[in-house]
Amino acid sequence: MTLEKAIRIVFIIIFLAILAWIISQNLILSGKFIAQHNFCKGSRFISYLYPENRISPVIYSDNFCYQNIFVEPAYFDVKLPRTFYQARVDLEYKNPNNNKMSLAVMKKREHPLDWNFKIKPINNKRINDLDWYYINKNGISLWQKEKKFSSIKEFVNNLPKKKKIVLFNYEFDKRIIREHKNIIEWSDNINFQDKHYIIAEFIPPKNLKKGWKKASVYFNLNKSYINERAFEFMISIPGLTEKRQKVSIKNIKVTLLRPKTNFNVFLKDLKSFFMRKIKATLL
Amino acid sequence: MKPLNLNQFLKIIYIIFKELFIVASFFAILICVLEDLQFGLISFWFSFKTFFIILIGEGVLTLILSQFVKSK
Repeated sequence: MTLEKAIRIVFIIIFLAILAWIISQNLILSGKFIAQHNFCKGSRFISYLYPENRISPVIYSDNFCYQNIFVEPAYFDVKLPRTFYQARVDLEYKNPNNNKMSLAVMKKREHPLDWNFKIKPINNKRINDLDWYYINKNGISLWQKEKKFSSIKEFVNNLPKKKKIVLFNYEFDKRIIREHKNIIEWSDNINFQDKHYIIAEFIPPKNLKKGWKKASVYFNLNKSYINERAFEFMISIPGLTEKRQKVSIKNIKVTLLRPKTNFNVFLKDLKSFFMRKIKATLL
Repeated sequence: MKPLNLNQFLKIIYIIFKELFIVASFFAILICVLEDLQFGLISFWFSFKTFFIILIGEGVLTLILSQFVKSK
């Protein structure tokens, strides 16, 4: 073997390894994919907030960068290397007037006028200020006026029939609602005095320094939420425009989950990945 | 084993550069075709701009080296 051939083989092996690495990155073998955008430096996966006429340009502060939303709703996209089935969005924001805020993910647009979202609350002043006993697990929260249950699972399996339970962005099976007459849907002017429990698919935001807050929102997703290889999120702040107020966003972190690929299913996963790509290319 | 003189050393460097350029060019074509066919989001993991700047720089260097090796 000549020197040239030997060198060529070495380089071919190196580039094949790079190609394999790129494909493995796209396959997300670990089942977990984290993307973050802090607005100081662009992110390959998370867009800046848009549309431009509703948002300020990026403002560079001492230690961080942020964008202001003046007119709602504002949007951002998260590009996807694969389909994911769960998303956790951590949003660091400043909402000086404590406006009601929601985060939504857009459903796949079959027609240009399709405008369907799955909406989750980010901020609820009345719940944030509550001093009841609080527990949360996997994006579900439970507030108890008097501590009786130590886990949400225990509460859900032993719903107290004589106590009033408020549902905020949470749904029970219709049969359960029929059996328990004391289950009440949330309304903005609800009176907490005669209520005993609040269960919600909502985690109150954590307070950070200098008025900034961090909210975590969980979504169960699937292919029907993917628009042009991205999840499209909407930040809704009703009344912001009319009151001429602003909300600032300084950090977006998205954690996406899908089933882990272990060695046994790797080849099957790889084959289905290539078949889908080929089909998508041909169609 | 005799130590390499400058000409031999330059020739080996030239061969390495030439082979790297050939293989990297094929790789670049393959990656561009895959990306153009929307075969995953390769550009997210791979900076095309940096890769092509390095490839062109390396190609120019190979060309200069080839002239140098041939003239000797």
